[in-house]
Amino acid sequence: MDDPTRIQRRVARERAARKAAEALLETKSLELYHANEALREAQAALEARVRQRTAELEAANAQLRDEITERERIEAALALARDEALEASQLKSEFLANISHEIRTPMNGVIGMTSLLAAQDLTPEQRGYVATIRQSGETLLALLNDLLDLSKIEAGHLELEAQWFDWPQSIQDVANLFAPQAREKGLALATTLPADFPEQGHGDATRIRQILSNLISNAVKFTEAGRIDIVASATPHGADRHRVQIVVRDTGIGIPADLQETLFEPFRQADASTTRRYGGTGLGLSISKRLAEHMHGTLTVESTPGVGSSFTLSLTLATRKAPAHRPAAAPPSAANTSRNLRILLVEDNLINQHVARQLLQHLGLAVDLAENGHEALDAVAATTYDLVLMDMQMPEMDGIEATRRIRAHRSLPQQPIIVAMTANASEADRERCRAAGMDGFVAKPIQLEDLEHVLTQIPHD
Amino acid sequence: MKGVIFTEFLEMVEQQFGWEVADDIIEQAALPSGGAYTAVGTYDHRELLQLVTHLSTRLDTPIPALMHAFGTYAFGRFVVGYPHFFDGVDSAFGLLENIEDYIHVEVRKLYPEAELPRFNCERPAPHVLIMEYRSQRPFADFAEGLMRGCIQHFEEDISITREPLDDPQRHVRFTLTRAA
Repeated sequence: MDDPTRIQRRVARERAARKAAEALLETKSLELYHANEALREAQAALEARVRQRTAELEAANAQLRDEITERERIEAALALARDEALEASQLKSEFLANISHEIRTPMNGVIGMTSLLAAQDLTPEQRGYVATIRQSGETLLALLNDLLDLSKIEAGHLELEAQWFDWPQSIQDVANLFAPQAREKGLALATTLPADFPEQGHGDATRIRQILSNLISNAVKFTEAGRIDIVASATPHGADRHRVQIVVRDTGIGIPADLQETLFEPFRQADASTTRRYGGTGLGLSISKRLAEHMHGTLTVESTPGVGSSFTLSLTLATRKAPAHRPAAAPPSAANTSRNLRILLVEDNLINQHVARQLLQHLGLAVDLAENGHEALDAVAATTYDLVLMDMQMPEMDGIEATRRIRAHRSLPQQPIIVAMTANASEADRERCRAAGMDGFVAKPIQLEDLEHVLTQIPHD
Repeated sequence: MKGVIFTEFLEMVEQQFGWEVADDIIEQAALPSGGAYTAVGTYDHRELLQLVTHLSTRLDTPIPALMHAFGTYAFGRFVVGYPHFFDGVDSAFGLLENIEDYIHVEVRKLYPEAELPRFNCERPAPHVLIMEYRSQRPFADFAEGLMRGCIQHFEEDISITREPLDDPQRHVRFTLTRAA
């Protein structure tokens, strides 16, 4: 056995070691406890943050939902307001179209009678009065036509034709139309077309002529001295299209810069005194610009007061060379009017009846009358007519239906030529007329010259 | 019961009565643990009672007196072993009032399963502290010894009166009165 003091020293060392181990264990345990606490706190903080973020997200979602609901409500209200505005605009346009149409009938009477009156023996003074009445009537009709055009465009009812037409001829025709007026005012009027200008374009030639007429008419109207140049140019646009520019340049009074912006708005002219000095409806340019835009083109202006104005119409249309064989127009046969033609007038309106009858009588022709489609059918069955002048809008049976039935009438010994009398018919209306079997149209109000032209179309027996 | 109570008890016996006495009472008690204690372990409190009983016989000293003396001794050891419990504390009442809310909280951090006695404190007057002791173990004498050790540490003049409630060793009201 060892010395007891040695054993006691050993025991003391072991005890000290044990205590050190215990102290270390407690320190580590405490550290572990604190680490666990920190972890627990971090987790709690994380959970709290997740809860907070979730709450924020839910709040944001709720707000978003509210905003969406609100926006949907506003959009619905806007859509309603838009529909109401469109309907109101539509009603306005329809009213304008109707009232314009209603005014045509009495105007028909005024102008028709005027042309009859002018054919009478009149003193020079009376002749002057008649000329003024006729001119005023024509101005009024032009205004009505413009109003109808504009309301049609604004109501979205404009229908454009799409047919091949002679590009250079169309431009030249319009220029020729204004040549006399220009000459009267001592103005030079020149048309410049490059040699490689496309021969044919595909589009609505009538509407293109309408735009050019308006531009050239304005140029003549607002130019006192100098010249008017119509300069056309074309650049290829893809394989079979051209971008065509037609510039109408004058040396007229010009338009101040601040008024150029409103120039294309309806009922705007460069200034109020213009209307008094030069007349015009103030609709021509706004119609022209809208027509150009409907054709996916542009109409722009450059002008310097006192120097002149330059209007540019740009259109991109399909183009081609003219087909080799162009049918030669048959020369109108003359003196048809002297023949003893049998004519049936189908017309319900008293004034129109009177005008047409007087005009035909002036040409030395007798005319039978039917007041609606039913009467027309009876008359055609009873008598063989060379020509039927057919009003389009009639009670009982309209012109289209009457024409269809006449054409279906197999037992007739001879089918008459049927010509529609129509005011400002759209291409769709004309197509319906052709489909029903009509041969042509005369525009209301009927003019003496128009009737003579129709009569020349009737073949000799 | 926490191992530190056992290790401190045996150290006290060794220091005051010699290691032979310590060895003897361990042998006589025939303890399940064999008397090999570590401060960080947990042992049946009846082992301590057995050790105290054998010490009492050996020294011919009543058990309450031994438990009281051990409490006073143990407090002195805590001062050495756990100085941070005394930070910012400058009176016996201050420390005793801290037992429930601070010291036991710290103990539970290390030993979550510890079964600690409860001390409900009251201060009916600035110089009076009433501590209601409630424990699952009959150690009221040990608790009083600790209080006495605490009073000695702060060198204060405080008397302790003891009033048994349901159980004279497990549920006791101590009234500590500081001399004016």
